[in-house]
Amino acid sequence: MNSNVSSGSVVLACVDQSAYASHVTDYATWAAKRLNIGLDLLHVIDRNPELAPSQDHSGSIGINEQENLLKKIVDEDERRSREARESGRRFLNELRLRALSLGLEAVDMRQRHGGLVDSLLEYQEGTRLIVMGRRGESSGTTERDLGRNLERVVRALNRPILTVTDAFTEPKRLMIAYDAGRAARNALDMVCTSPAFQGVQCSLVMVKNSESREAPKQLEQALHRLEALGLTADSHLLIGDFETMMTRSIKELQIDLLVMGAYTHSPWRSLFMGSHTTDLLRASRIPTLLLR
Amino acid sequence: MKSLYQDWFSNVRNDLLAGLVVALALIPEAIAFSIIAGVDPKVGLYASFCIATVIAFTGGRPGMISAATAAMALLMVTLVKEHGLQYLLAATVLTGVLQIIAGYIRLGALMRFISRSVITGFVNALAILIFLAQMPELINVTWVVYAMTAGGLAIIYLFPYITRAVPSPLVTIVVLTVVSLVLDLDIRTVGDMGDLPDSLPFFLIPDIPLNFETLRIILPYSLTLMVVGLLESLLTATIVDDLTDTKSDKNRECVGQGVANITTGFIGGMAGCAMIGQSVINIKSGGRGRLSTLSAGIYLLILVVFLGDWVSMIPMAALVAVMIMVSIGTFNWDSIKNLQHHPKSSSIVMVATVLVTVLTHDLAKGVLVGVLASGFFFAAKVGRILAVRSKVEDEGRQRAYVVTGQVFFASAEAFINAFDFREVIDKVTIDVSRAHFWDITAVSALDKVILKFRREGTETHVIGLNEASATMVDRFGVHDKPDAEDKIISH
Repeated sequence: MNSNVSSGSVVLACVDQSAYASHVTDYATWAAKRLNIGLDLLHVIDRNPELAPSQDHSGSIGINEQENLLKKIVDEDERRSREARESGRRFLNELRLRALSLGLEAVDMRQRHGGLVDSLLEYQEGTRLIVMGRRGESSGTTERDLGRNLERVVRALNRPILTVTDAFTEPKRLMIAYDAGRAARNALDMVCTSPAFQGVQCSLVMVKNSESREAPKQLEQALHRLEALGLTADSHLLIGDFETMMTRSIKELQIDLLVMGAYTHSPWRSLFMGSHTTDLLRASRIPTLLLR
Repeated sequence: MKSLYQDWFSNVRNDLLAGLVVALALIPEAIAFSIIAGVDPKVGLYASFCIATVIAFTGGRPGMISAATAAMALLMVTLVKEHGLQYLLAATVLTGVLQIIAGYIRLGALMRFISRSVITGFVNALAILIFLAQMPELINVTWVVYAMTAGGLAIIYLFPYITRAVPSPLVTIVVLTVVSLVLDLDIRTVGDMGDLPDSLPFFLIPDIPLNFETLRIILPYSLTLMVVGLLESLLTATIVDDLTDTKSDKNRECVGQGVANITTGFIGGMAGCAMIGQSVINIKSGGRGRLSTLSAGIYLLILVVFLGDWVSMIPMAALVAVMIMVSIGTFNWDSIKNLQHHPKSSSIVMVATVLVTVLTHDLAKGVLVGVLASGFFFAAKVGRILAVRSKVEDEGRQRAYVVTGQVFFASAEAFINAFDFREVIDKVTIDVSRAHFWDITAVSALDKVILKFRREGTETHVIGLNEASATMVDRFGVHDKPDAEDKIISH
């Protein structure tokens, strides 16, 4: 397939200095090999200017306070950025060697200053797939079980994003969370056309709150599409709570890669009503490919 | 969504602590400047509470502190004296309306005409005004007050060497209050200065006749208040931008200041704006988000309303000490040293801004003088970029002039004087294709030159006038045309 080897198109692995970085690299390497394209390792150095390191509550301001304060803050930022850059280079290089040892040939390293989302927006043009950890550096200290970057990244970008939590196992059984919506149909298209999924056993799963007349038909159509392309596929229509039913069938079918449309509703709705995507990403630990 | 969360909740612990530190510096300022403006301390305290809390939501610069300020209070003195508090409240509301308009028509863009020297002058003038405002508390008083103030300053600057966990202004206030109570000193306290807030603020409509006469009275005040409020706010926003290396939305800040002032007018507070000193304290204490501003306002209200009886016992000397600290921290001390090194023109601009402000108590006038002066100096400097060279041709019967550089009102005379009209020649060519004619003055100067040559009977040819006068169009900009940049540089 010609379009898949198009030049400039790479798998972009977002890594930070957490244990997840090696898992991310492994999955990204797998994807790059399957898609027969290069891998870029991206490390974003975010100074987080919205955070203050200060512990000084003396509240007194003396002669040339503005200049002194500016100098102090700049010095501090300089020191931290330098450290981040140097150690970032070291661990990026380790990850690069890791990817090379797994048999990949084209592995590049990139470092960017700024926020993760902004950096990804710059790079998404030449990117085929983004791989990132569901949690990162900061998740050890915060109580959040889903990295704070994930939802923002998924919402901001229009590339497929593979999110991982655990160590690499080669995906053999794939599940598409199918609701016949636009994002889910996109997901189906992608599975159908991408060389990454050839030879993978595919399960279509649809969860409904109640009996529906439409659902079996929609599921049937989707199944036909997969089978027509020569993929081995099965379908399951389940009634009940989305999160419970999904996690249960992931276990029962021994799924090791989930594909789903993500964050199809507005951010306000997910703020008040919660989001299927977030719930499922929290509940299950298998790698999940998110599509918008 | 992203920035909404980031603006509010990314720095919660530090924001809440910094807010408390800032609130302690806001109280003395609010009280001191209510007194300057000639109103009860509660007017300034309500204003500070209200402006800080409203601007936390509406402002364009997270982490910046706004409240009742020196710059604004000084502009209200005569209004309060001649017409009373109600007119001040009305003027405050009108100021807010004007600021919202200014925000929508993007007046903030005019800030780029304010040079570094004017800004330094503004900051220094402000510091001096804050200091001078403490004078009534320091003149004709007993030695006890001096001792208390000096002791207060000593605590403020020395206590941080012991610990930086507790705000030293708070220690100063507590210690001086305890000392004055224990020794039963006969010195002025906050309670002597007028009413303190005894309840939460409530909505009220300024009690004024709604007619043209009222507008005629308050409009001039509101206009100046608008200008000064926005100047100090945008200037402070830039300072906070630099300190935190983040961007602010200047037009949103203008509108936000307007909304804050309208609200404060309706709950009986005086107009205010952003404060340089307190914003620096906030950043230094670790405040970055909107929560720091909001919490500063709320702490302030809690402190004053619920601890009002205690607040009224604070000796004025303690507040004077805190305000002297703010004044010292606001002043740009390097600028004094720089007077020797910087170009004379920028030093003159800076000093002129300071002098006019201190003499008139009006920062708007100071800035106006500063901007005008820097404009003059700039025009004079650029006017010197002009050269007229010539050479004789055709055995002395012809002369070719080549003009390079900038021709405009400031250099037009030099341009005319560069030609030799006494020379007896047949023909003159003036090549202006490598000059820029910026305005009508430049063109009429060229006309004058041509006329003068004609009167001597000399035939005159001008070359390249179209290229030279391309700059006369009002919307002239290098970015418009792809090759314009090369043309400018090649001149």
